[in-house]
Amino acid sequence: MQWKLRYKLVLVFIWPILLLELVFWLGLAGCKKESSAPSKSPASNETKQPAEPNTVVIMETAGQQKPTPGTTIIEPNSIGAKWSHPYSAERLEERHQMVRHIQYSYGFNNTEVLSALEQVPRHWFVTVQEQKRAYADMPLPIGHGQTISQPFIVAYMTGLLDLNQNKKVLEVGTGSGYQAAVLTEFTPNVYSIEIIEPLAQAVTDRLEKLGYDTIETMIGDGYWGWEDKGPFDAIVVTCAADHIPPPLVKQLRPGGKMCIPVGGTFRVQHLMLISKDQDGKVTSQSLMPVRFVPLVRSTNP
Amino acid sequence: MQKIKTLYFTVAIALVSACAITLELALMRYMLIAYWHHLYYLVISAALLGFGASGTFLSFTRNWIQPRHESACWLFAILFALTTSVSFHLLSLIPLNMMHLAWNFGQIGYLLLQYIALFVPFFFGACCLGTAFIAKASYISRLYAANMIGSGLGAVAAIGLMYLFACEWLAVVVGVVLCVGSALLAVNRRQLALSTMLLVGILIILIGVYPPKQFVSQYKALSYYRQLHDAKILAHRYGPLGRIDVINSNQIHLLPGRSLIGTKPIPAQTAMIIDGDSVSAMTRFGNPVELAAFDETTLALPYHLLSKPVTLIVGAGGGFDIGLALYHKCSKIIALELNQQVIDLVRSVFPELTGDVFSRDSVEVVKAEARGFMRQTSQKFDLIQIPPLDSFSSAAAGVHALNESYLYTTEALQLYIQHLQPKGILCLTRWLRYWPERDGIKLLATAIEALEHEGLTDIDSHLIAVRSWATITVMISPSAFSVAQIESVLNFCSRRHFDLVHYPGITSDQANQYHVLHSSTENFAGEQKAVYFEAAQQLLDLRQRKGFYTNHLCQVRPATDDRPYFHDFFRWRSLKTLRQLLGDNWAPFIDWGYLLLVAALIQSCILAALCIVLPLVCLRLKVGAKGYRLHTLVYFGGIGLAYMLLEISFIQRLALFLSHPVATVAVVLTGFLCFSGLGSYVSHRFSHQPRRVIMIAGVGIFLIGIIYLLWWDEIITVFQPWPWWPRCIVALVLQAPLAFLMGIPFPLGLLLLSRHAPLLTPWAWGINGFASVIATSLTVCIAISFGHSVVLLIAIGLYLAVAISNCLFNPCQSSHSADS
Repeated sequence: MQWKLRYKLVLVFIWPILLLELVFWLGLAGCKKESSAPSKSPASNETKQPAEPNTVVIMETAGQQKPTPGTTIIEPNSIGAKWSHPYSAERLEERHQMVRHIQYSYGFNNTEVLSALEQVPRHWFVTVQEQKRAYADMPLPIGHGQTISQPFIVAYMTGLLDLNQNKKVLEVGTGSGYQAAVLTEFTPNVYSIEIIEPLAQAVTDRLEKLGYDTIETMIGDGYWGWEDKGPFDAIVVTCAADHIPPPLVKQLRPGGKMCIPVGGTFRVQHLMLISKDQDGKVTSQSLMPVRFVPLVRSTNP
Repeated sequence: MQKIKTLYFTVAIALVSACAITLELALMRYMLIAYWHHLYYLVISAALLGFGASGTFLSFTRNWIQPRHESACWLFAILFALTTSVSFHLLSLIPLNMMHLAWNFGQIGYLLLQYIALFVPFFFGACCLGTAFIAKASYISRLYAANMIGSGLGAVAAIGLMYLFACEWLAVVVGVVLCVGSALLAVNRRQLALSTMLLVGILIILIGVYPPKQFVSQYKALSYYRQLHDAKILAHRYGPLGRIDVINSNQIHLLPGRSLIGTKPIPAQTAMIIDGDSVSAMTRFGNPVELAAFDETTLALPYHLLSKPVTLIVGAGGGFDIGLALYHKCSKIIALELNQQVIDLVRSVFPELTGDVFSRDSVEVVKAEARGFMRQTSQKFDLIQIPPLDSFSSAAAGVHALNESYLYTTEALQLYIQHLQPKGILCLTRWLRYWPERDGIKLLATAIEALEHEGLTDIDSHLIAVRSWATITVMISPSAFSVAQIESVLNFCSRRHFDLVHYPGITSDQANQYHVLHSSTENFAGEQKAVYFEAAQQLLDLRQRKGFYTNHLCQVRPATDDRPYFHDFFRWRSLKTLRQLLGDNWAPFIDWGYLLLVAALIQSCILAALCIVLPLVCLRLKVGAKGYRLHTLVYFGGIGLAYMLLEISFIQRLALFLSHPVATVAVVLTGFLCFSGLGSYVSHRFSHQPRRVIMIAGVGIFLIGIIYLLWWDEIITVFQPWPWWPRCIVALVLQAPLAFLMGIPFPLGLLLLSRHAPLLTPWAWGINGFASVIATSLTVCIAISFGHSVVLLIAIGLYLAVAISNCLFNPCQSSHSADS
């Protein structure tokens, strides 16, 4: 009799454990399913999230594949660039919507920058897990604790740099390569440095496969800049640091601008804009991109 | 034989209690290293929810468990051991990514799974204890005493074990101890054999085959540094004050808020990372002249105003500030460092990587906390240097919002000023955050009010503040700054392109020159605005100050010892304005700590309400003692809330007295739980008149609480100069009467209930657990808004109210007869 009761007692406790286990495995299965869905890349590195520290994990992006057979490569774009800057009609409507959102929500009216954002297929640079959100106005994770910036921040930073095809740009922190691709819409002289080796390898391969022939990438410590290629008219630094590296300030040409997003891991709270005037005097500003919002609201209630 | 059996049972209950608290502390450390402080409350909440839910569960299964309670206790203990041993494995398997939570709702599922993985062990542990309390109501006092004393000793053991084992291994240690506990609970050979098998299984599988690992979020500094291609992990230490990792790489360059036009080279650096995120630089140098780059930060300013000062540095860390002081040839440098492991690493393990900075002739490193050191010494200094002790990234993310800090309160600054030579300087530096500008403004406000409280009148001439793009340095002095010193400040700033915030005689055109700030309501091309200069002017003007505090979007009033939350800037009424101004982008601009705390509180209340009401609805048909439901809810809810409120309030009160955060927690937990255990044990002698004893206990707690509320500072001041160990004993003595009385209401209340409405006893256990869940977040919410004194007042008020209501409660004649 006692055994029977104990049996019941065990049964009472076993079901929550089973339920817990079921929920757990369902969760894991869901994760695996999500991560394996669109993965067809020949490079098919194992996708895993979040990246375990000390583990080399490459977040596979759609851009690691050659553009699919249905993809139309069209060029040049509205800026009239003569160098290689691939284009695809894939998800064009979403790109258009993203640009309109930036234009109307933030009152951002730099047409050249908006056009550049419309040209670059952001989904090529986004991980397979985040494909659905590729054109949402939000930053997205790319693995290794790094992110692809919010489209509006990319637009805003690019606009601040005042670019044209004769200018030379250095990007510190290549990340997914999206910012470099947007910069390429303005100038063929884009140089990019990435410190995290697996990320740098992946982005170099991606840019090469996608046909971004003019972007020069380097694996290394961006703190020292790229002296051989300098001086630069514009520098974009996308990694958080407690001080601005003096070599970068040195490699900024008189009249040049350096832009650094500052804030938490995912969201930019303010942008540091460093300007060097013709006399070499350096000044900086903290810019608040979101200050556009109240202005827009007052005109478009 | 029966006596031995009872002894085994009591010891086993003490072991289970000890393991529950050790596991809780281990999990808190694990989550802190894996993620951030925000998940601290997840662990506390899950643990206490486990206790609450066990009460609900036992309410339903009481009739079934009662006849076989000993076997049930064993089974719960075994399940507790099993789930504890694998808890860290499960946690590391769940791919939670906190940063994605805002937009990836799939992550909420993982968060839920983490919560369940945290909850399950505590649920089984609490079921084991609850079953014992319900089934052995006749000697509840002894069991409750074992529970309390076991928990108290468990807290001390946990802190001791943290020096011996990394926190992920603590789960295995707890699992092993629980197996021993379950063996003591076994009532037959089969159960004994199963306990032994589980013990062997844990030892073989978890130690030999599948050892636990500490997960670290990919967004933490430790993960970033480990990814650098030439990164070498040189050392790894663990302890209750934090996990320390020392990583060497040629790609480490740390210099807080360095001038944009700085050009001096930084010598090779090594990163010392605490808890995976807080980075301190260790710099290799021979001659201090090599540290010229350090002079390109705002922290160097006071050294340009003083000649070879006797300097006190708060927070030695990797030796950055000592290096700066050595560069300026200070005649004597005393550096305070709380963590002995940091001192050992810098001084003994890596002297070559740090320029042997702790052993230089003029340097003395003291293991002490700033406030404690100041209260112990009568020495006066030319310069007291307080650098930013948190890292740039963690400050930007606002992860310290809920952390208490006694370093930046007005009372603290007054104490520092009292330890300055007449012409000495107190120098404080903080990281700046923009829009709304807050940290720097709060620091300015604290400095100004501290000077005022010290009786100085012409505050304007005692204050100098400058800023770089990333840091603000505020200097105050008991004497007015001289013309020569002001000249030095102007030179220092113009050579490094630092902006002037305030100096005696500043004009508006001198501010906002290099790192230009703009008005917050216009776009970037709009009007420039010297935000910090204007803030300093308004704060210095008494007529404008109140309005400035009221109108600012953030909470920028100075922190006090009663409300020591310098890093909390949250304001409810600003939420609407922020949303209006920032639209969808408002989220990163507010400090989430407080909102998450409120969310945890709401979630706890909902869960508690559900789990408390559920058995009530079901039991309504069965329970005869109708009037007891509300009384049970009020009584056990009240004492559950009040106990936690008082305990946390005491941790805050003793933190300054004992000057060591971990020691304070250990002393308070041990003291409270052990003395409460003693109170509980003694209470069974009065089981014939429980109501009267509960009333005496309630009044006693209230009176002692009032004495502490009114004369705490005076009492503490008497013992403050005593050495550390005697102060610990004083702390225990101060807790003893209060904790002793606090141990009485629960067992006597449960005894009364078991006499009049025995079916409600598991429900009462659950209510008590849920009240504790709510109290953990509620205490911090109250303390942030109203201060710790109000927390203490509420707690003692609750005890008195509960005792009075219990005395007045008289639903039927039977209770009279039981009491008389």
